[in-house]
Amino acid sequence: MNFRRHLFSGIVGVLVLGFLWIPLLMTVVNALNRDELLSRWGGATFRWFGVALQNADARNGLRASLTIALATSVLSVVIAVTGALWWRKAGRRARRAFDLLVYLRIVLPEVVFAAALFIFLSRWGFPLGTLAVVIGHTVWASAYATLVIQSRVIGLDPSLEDAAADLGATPLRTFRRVTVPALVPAILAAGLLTFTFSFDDVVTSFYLAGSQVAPLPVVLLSMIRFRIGPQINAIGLLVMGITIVTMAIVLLLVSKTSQRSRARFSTPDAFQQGPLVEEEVR
Amino acid sequence: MTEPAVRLVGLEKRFGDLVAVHSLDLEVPRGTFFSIIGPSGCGKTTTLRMIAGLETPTAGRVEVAGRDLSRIPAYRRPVNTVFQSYALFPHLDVYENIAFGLREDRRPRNEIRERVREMVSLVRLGGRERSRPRQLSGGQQQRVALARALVKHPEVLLLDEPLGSLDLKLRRQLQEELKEVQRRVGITFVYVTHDQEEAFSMSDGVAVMNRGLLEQVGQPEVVYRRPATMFVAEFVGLSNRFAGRIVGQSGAGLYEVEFDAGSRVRAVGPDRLSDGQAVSVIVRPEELRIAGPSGPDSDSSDALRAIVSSISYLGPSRQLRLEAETFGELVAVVQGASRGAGEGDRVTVAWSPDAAWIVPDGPA
Repeated sequence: MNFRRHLFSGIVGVLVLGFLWIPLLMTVVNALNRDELLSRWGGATFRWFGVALQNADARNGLRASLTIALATSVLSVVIAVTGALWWRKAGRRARRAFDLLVYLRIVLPEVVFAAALFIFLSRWGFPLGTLAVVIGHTVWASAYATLVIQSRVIGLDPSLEDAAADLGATPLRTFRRVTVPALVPAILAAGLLTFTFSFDDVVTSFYLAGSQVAPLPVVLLSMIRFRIGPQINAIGLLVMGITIVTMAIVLLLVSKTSQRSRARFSTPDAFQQGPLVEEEVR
Repeated sequence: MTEPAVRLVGLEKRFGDLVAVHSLDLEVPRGTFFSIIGPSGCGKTTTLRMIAGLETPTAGRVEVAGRDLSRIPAYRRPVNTVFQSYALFPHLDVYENIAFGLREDRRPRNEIRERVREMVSLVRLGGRERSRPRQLSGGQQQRVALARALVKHPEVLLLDEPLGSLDLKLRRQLQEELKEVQRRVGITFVYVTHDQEEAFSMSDGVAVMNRGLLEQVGQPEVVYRRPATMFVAEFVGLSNRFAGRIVGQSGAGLYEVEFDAGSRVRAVGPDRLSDGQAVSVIVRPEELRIAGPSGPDSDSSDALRAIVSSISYLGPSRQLRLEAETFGELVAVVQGASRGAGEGDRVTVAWSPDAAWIVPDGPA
């Protein structure tokens, strides 16, 4: 009886899960498949990782992607911290305008930003390449970083900064000795989050990288168009690995610090829903 | 005498249309324990924050030790604050919290260690130097906040309801500790609280504020026994209030008052009350003498007849609610818990003229 009632939702559930996870599973399996044509299981091997890493395009792509992701996350966090702290002291209307600008950057399709930036940069003769991609990524990555840091800033007790000033700390010293330490967990989470977002981005990178630079996801895309071989799966697995590890660190940081922060900086629950919810938006 | 520790001159603070503090003039004598009391929203905390430099006055100025601080930011003022929520730095341990201000002043390492140690023992936190604030009890956190502010040897220590979040027993204990610390270090304390009892028990001087205005400044006893306004009379304790008007003066500060009900009494009042002026006569509950219907006061012209309507036991004393013939309800507090009038008894109520204090009826 019970089983029948749940049969339909059970089947749908299995189908959805399968649809989501089987391609990923295939990637993992085929990354280890000895058979080059991927037509059947030819036994396990780690050979393709070696092949992939010997591929100059892939190596350069990895290096470019890591550079871009690092620069994007640092830039985004700086913008987010500055913005969130301004937002805290701003008036009602200014706050609303600020929030609107943040949400727009998340809601508007990435391709719109990418195309607009492409036109804008070429109009002004700004060279496409690493820097252009970093700018393009930062446009939306900083919005996610802002959400994460904002939720922490809300919970920041303003009397801590009053106390620092009262004890003789200049505004700059107060920022360094009180504000930043209070924001550290959010800064780390925002940094790692934007790092992964930037690292696996295709759209913006595709528009703004130009002909000299090719980040790893773009390399992957062009390789797929040429031929699907096991080394592509190997690269895919690498990218997946890097992303998963970073996200795992984010989650760990968030859950750990939100437990602790309740006692430490009296942060409301807002922080917990920070990056987790936002990821689904993308 | 020497300069006052704090002098406020025409100090005013507006938030939009709201006047939080209205043209305040106040002097706090050096080395005293001075309290600012008033109901919440009366502007006492805002006043404190303006002295600290955490709030910018709309008008007027703050002087500390004779120096105008108007153009001096909070981080260069010779005052320190104990915040209501303590505002201890959660990422620093007790030692580093206390050392915070000294590090900002770039004091030499040895001196910092010496002064922090001194403070730790003053507030009796020995052994807890490496604890984080969240590992401490409320009372201990309060002591850290005190030590952190005192370690800089400020001209004035500002305390913003520092005992507000503690339970009663701990409050009492820390009140005494605070008073003791103040005596020992000799620093001027400016203490903000809404609890008049707390203020009275610790302070050398008290300022009562209401709706941004200063109502009265004086020693606790003066404020209690000789309130300048009805607000002060009611804020600082229970009182019996009789409406009447001045009908004559019999000596310096001694007046004849006719109650609306017809009888006349003598009462003490401030200078320059004129005949015919509408006033209230205030008698504190513990000043009422209760006697049987034919007691010693029964002949006295000031005596009232009343019936005891209820009695509540307050431990060392009893509080009596009385229904007086023409004056309505009265409150009396009598010492001793066992003997005396019972509920429903007819009694006479009297007081000495010195205990009756005249408060002019103000517009408020």
